[in-house]
Amino acid sequence: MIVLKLLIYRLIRAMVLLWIVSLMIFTLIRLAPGDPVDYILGANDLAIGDTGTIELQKKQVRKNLGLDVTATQQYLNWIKRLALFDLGNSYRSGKSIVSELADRLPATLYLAGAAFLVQVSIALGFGIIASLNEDRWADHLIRLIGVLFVALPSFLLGLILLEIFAIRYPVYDMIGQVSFKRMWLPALTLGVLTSPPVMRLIRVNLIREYSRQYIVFGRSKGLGKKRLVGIHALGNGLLPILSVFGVNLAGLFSGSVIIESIFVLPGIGRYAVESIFARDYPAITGYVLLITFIVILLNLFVGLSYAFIDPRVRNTGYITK
Amino acid sequence: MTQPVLTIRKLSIEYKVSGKKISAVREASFDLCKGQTTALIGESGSGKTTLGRALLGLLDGAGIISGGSIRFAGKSENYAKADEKLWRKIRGREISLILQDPQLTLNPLMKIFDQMLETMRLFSQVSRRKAWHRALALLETMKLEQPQKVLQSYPFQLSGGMCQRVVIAISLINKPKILIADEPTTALDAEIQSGILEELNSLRKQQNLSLLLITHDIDVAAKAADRVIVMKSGKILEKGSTQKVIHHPDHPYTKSLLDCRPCNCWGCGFDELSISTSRLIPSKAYHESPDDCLLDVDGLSYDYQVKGFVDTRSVSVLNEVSFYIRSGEVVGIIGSSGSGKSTLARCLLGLLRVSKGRILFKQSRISGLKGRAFRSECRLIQPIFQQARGALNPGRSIRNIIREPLDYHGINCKKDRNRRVAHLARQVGLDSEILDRRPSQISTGQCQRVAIARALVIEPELLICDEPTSALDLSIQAQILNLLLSLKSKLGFGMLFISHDLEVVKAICDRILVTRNGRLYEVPSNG
Amino acid sequence: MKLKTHLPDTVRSPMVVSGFLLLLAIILSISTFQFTSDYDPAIFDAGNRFNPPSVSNPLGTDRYGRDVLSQVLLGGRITLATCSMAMITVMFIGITFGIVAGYSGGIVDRILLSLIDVLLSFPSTVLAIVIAGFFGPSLKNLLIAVTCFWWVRFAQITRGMVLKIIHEPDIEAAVAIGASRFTIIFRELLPRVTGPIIILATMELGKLILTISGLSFLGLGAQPPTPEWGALLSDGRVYLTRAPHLIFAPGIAIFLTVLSLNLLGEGLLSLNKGLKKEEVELL
Repeated sequence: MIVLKLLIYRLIRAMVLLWIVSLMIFTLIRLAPGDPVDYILGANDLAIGDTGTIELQKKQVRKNLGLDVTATQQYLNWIKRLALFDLGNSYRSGKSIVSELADRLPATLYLAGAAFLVQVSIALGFGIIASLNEDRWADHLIRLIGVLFVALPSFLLGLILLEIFAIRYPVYDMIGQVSFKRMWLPALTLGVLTSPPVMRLIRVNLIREYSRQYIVFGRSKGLGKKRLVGIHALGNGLLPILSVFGVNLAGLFSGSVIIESIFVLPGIGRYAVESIFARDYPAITGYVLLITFIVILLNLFVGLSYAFIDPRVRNTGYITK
Repeated sequence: MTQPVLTIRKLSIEYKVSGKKISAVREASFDLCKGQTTALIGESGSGKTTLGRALLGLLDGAGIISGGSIRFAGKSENYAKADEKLWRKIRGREISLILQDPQLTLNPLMKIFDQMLETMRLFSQVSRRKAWHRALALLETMKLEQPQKVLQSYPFQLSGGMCQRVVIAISLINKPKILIADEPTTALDAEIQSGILEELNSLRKQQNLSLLLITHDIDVAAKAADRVIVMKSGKILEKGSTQKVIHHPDHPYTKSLLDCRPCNCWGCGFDELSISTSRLIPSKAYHESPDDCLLDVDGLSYDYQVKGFVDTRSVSVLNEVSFYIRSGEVVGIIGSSGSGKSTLARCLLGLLRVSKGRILFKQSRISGLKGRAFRSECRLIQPIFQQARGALNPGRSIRNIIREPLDYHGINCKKDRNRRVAHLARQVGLDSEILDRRPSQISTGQCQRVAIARALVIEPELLICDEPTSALDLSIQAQILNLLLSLKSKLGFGMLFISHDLEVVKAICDRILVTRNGRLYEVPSNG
Repeated sequence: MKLKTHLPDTVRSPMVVSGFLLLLAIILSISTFQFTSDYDPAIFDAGNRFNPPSVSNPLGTDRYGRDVLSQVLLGGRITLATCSMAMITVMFIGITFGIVAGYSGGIVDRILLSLIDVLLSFPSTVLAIVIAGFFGPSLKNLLIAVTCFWWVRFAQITRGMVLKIIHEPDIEAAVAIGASRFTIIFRELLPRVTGPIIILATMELGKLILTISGLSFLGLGAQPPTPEWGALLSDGRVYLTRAPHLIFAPGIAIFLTVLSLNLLGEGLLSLNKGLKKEEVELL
């Protein structure tokens, strides 16, 4: 019952969020300097002839783009097309943006997913070690390494790694399809660089859990460290940061822009950057909408996951009694 | 005396706090005997919990056993020097622990059965089905109803009393000989407390357990223990049979502990706090308020909003509270922690917005007022808080602190204000040289005097005192109370005095009200 | 500020000391360097292209024969100045909204909470891409984009701190005695909030520098010939094998600057009792 309510509540929230963001994007498109008609005419070299013909052509293009009606009508039309997964065609290639994005999505999904795995496993491993050695040398060392990695620009590390693994000792394959051979280095770079904040969060949460009564009681029963830390403390310690994992995964989707362009991966991030340089507004809009959709989906998922993981939420809708 | 199962000799424990060593327990020596209950009594901060944890090797990271010995009967090792490996061999099997808040003692994400199962599987291989039957039997001996349902529940689905029974059952699964019970009933309702204590007692008899009952409540100790140990500031002051310690205490501290109890005579049966609710008279809404009414509270409710995942739930903290204070009258409000008495004070002071009801101060309504209007209407209601030092801004001089109300309300010129501050400082017994110091440079008692001076500097008609003496030492408590009384007779202000301590309230109040579960009651006059 | 009481601790903390010294060195070298004719970052010298580090050009020269050291130092001026300005703006807006929302609650609080909900669920890079995408890539647009959403974090943290501070006994006492909102906000809340927020801002400044230079690296921020660090790096990436100093010089400059800020911030954070680490990290 609670789960159903939560699902409905979260769905409504997601819809509202989607609506607000769509409004924001639509406003931005309208606010953007320059006339899209000029770009289209410029790009397709249609503008031949005297001013009168150009004006006529412009009018025609404006009508084709649906720009000859009121803003509200335009917004409604736009939303209608969005609902049918019609994002329009790219100014550059003239192809459907949905299909272009769909072609590019697998690389980004692979990269973000793999980087997330790397990030979480590093964060978990070192977070647990650091928390168990609170204020001892191992903890300080991990913290110091964390600070060093946080300060390392991803583009610098990416370039260096590429130089080493692709050119000096070619074990990494720069060309080819989305595959492990192509993805392991970028995923590793992205995952390692984004792990320190997560690690510290896990460490702090675990240390807080260690002083809880149920851990003291568990020890008094005779439970060993492995079980206490691995099952009891970790379960309770990770609950409050589930949402952080969601935000992080979303961050990896977009944070991959730099990594994608360094490793020349055919992902949506690089597509967005290329579109910006080409002033391909429909393509940029498509990218932003896709990311929005992913972010909202992740939010929805994280919100619901509390209900599945935490019995208190599942049964009462509250964490406290 | 029977054979001791645990012998502690000259046990000392230290805490390392930012490089400095702080002694928590000093040379404690005592025995725990088979089949007996020993009570360890002390106030919070006396080191009793630390001592109890040390007996299981459960001191947290900063605590170290610095000397002495812990010896279990039949074991040759001195456990004061034991490492984690050695401790793990006896935890749960020789010695076990139950803690104050049963709901926090259980892992909130695990079903009761799983928590019992992992305990059973510690020292022996048990199949799930066998474990289920054993768990059922254990819960039945703990007198838990519907044990099957309990086993499939999560901790949050059980009441506090049920949880504590489950915790006791779990702690006894591997048949320990010693059970350390650290404030096992403090977090529970009064009616459930005695049930848990009885349960512990019968288990002790059945299983020939040696029970160490750690408590701050001398009544609990008197009821349940065979022997009593009194502890203060890490030292054992007195130990002996319950009979002797309670009736003929040697140490002055034990005497003062006994004197502090709500009722001076044992078993005389009158104690407002434990009076059953049915005998109390609910305070009436829409009462007739007298003509010289200073504060008139009518049907005051306060709800606290808790935001959940789906909706927001309101928890009632105060429910239809009504009472009045005449001018110059001292009204006491007494209640246990969580009964809503502090919330009431905070509502009256405008720190919380009331959900329902009205507050009249000198016939004009102050509930629902905001900002400047509230401040000018309520100028003559002044507070004194429990945290003597905390309630003073650490960055300001005492002179400026006492002057605050005059500054805030823009009364008099600066010269007059300072004269008034000096006058009040004299009245509350503060030396004039203190005025230039900061709160951190004076004693706690002096801090509370400063707070009183600050409250009185504006010549208020009503003082709201929220536990003004409970954070102070006993000797200073009396001084502050006497000061308040003498100032009251001199200046004639009314007072609302909130406390958990009946003795204090009785000493200074004209009328006493009781809060319980967010409601306000009058005490029947026939007592 | 609290710095005075922390002074002994502060001096003892190796993180704070090393971070502070490093940052001081960076600021000093950036601000005192004289761009004489030898080191004019705009000079074109076809005969000295891709020179490796030498005495006359300590960090070598780039593809136009320009001195890399002076470019990096000039870039540092641009990066540090713009990012610090953005951070101060962000801090100011954040503290204002955070205090108002946290202290008065009501409609401001609800608006802030929903903004937090919307803006913080979006990765910062995406928002920057949106702005750069629609208004054209430039350092100015990038900074505007960053300022537009970064303040929300500060507002959120300030709000959380205020919600806690207003329950401290001396503030409650001040309210009960009759202090006005103005007094509470300016005499009680503001002084207690700013110290920890400044510490936080040093760490956030590091993050901001990384973001700005990262997006400039992609070409979405500073445009050539502006010697912004990320743009410099992007300029030199093609010649990675031939002239590695072209990417190492600006890369290490970014690394050291962010490192010094992080060391300083982190060290101060662990000394400051007003701001608990776990609270900050949960945000």
